[in-house]
Amino acid sequence: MKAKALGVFAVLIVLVGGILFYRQATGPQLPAGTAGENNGAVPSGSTSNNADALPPAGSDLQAEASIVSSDLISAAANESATFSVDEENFLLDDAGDLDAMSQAITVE
Amino acid sequence: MSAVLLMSMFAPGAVIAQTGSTAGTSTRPARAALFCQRIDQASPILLNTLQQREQRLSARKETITERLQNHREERDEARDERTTRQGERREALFDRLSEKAQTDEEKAAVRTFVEAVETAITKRNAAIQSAVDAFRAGVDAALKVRREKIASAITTLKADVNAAIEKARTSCRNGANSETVRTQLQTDINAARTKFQNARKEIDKMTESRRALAETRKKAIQDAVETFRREVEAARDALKAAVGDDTATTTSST
Repeated sequence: MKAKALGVFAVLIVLVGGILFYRQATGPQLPAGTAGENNGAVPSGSTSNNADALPPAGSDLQAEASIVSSDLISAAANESATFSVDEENFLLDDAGDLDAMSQAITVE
Repeated sequence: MSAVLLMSMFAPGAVIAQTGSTAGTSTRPARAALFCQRIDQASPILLNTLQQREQRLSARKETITERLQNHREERDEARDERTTRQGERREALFDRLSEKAQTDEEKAAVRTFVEAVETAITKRNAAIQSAVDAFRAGVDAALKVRREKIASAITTLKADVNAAIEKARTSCRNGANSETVRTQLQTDINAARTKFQNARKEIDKMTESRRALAETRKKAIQDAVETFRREVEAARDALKAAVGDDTATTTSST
């Protein structure tokens, strides 16, 4: 009787161990849409069950519109900066000649 | 020797230095006594020196005009190149945007956006060109005024110098003391020089007007860019609203 009980116990241990080993080897059977528990890989078909996390229709276009607008505005600002350079200082290059003109007249 | 004496009576700076080492202070009374004898020969030297300086100034004026022209052409070319590059870049951006449009409604919204941006760019470029043209016209006008003032100052200087020399000649012919005539001529020449230098201060005011013109141009361009920013943001918000973003209109008013 005691030997029979030990045998049943041993069988149970083998069964439980087998189940645990099987689960570890194959991984948990995740429900669809639980990407966060699966190293970020979205299971096939999970999108239909997780609609709230998806961008709304046209959001790609909206995001692109924001990028394009920022780019255009930034380019315009850069363009305007090129005009801040004081570009014509050489217009007064004759200052030395004017000085020489007044220095030219001396009576010793 | 006589040439040195003549030149030292009406001496440009370089000649003074030259005679200073050879004549020395002991010759000054002798020079003063000879003044009336040499005045007719010496005066052309002074006037000739003035003429040479005037020619140099005229050559400089030509150089400045040429440089200004070249500078503007270079600036225009650089701006044209930037405009072309930006146009190509913009095309690529618009293409990317069009690729994102899937439905007819989205495609129509993108077309509207592109048209609005192109209109804003045309408007901005016209405003910038107008600001640049106004700046250049202002600089040209200021340069013209400056040159007219320079010409007037030189004319006055030459007239004053001629008048001073003529006055000295007359005094010499009337038997005035040579030393006295020389001193008077020095006084008159110094007065002519001071008058020229005062005129010069007025001439230099062009720097201020050019600074003001640059500031006006800067402000006009900043305004054009700011208007452009608002218009592009409004176009962006309209596009977003057209494809379903209800919050889009809140960003363009800043």
